[in-house]
Amino acid sequence: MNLLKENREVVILGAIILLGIGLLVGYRYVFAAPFKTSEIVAEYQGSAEDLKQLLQSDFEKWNNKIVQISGIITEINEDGILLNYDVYCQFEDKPIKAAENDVITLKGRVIGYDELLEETKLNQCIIIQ
Amino acid sequence: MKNTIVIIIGLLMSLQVNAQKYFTRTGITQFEASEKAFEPVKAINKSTTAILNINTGVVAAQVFMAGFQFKNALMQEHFNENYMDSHKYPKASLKGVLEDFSKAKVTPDCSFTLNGILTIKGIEKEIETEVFFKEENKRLFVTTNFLVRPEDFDINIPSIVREKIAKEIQISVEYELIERK
Repeated sequence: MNLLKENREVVILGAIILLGIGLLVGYRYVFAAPFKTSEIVAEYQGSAEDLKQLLQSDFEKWNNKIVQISGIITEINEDGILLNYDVYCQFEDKPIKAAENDVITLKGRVIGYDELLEETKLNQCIIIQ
Repeated sequence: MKNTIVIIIGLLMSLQVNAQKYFTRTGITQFEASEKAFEPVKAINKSTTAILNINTGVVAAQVFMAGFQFKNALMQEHFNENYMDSHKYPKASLKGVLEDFSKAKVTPDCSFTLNGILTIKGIEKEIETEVFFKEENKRLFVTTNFLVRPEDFDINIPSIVREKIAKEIQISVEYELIERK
């Protein structure tokens, strides 16, 4: 107890520093921006074909997950590319450096199966290779 | 000879039908539920699929909950897990008809009334809204906005944050439709 009294300034200063760190950590947790695709490790790596099978068997497990897939570009426009005719991959960074008929590996987030166009949809895609 | 003509007419008609749809995969859907003096509650989805049949004026649009992007990761997590139940209801949709629509009537600053059914969290609700059209470079630019109430779609807002979220949520839509080939 004496020790505490003698070093009052140090204790108070320590408490203030700890509180400050706590506030900073809390603030950064509450106001953090969502992770980017590049910062997250892909939970699945494989072909676009196999991804479709996985989604058919357990859609809930894979929805909203980051995956890395390979396939052939069957269509390309300013916003994204279509792999193997039915996996649409949307990009944030443009222009997309790829061309039709290229074989490509990319990483993106599965956002759902589009019943209107019968396509699997990925967004925030980045080219790996 | 007769058969050949019928087949040719049939083929021409099928081509015609195929060419009558305009669509997008990357339509923008935004919502804003901000209250003054509090942190903005809003998100943008740039992956909306929409199809318009220009013969009939029938519209179908679909948006994935997982595609809504917030500035704030925690808010995005709460949106998906607490409010929208995105695992169970991964998408919202809008199906409807534009009254008296015809592509020939599309002029700068024209609008059509959309009568449709909005489905969020599996709950259907009728909506009516004015949809604005513009045509440029063979593309149809479509915009609209409307208000929805969270309680209509069984979205429960806990009392602790009720003051921070608007009673009516503004939804705005921007599509750039191209012809579907």
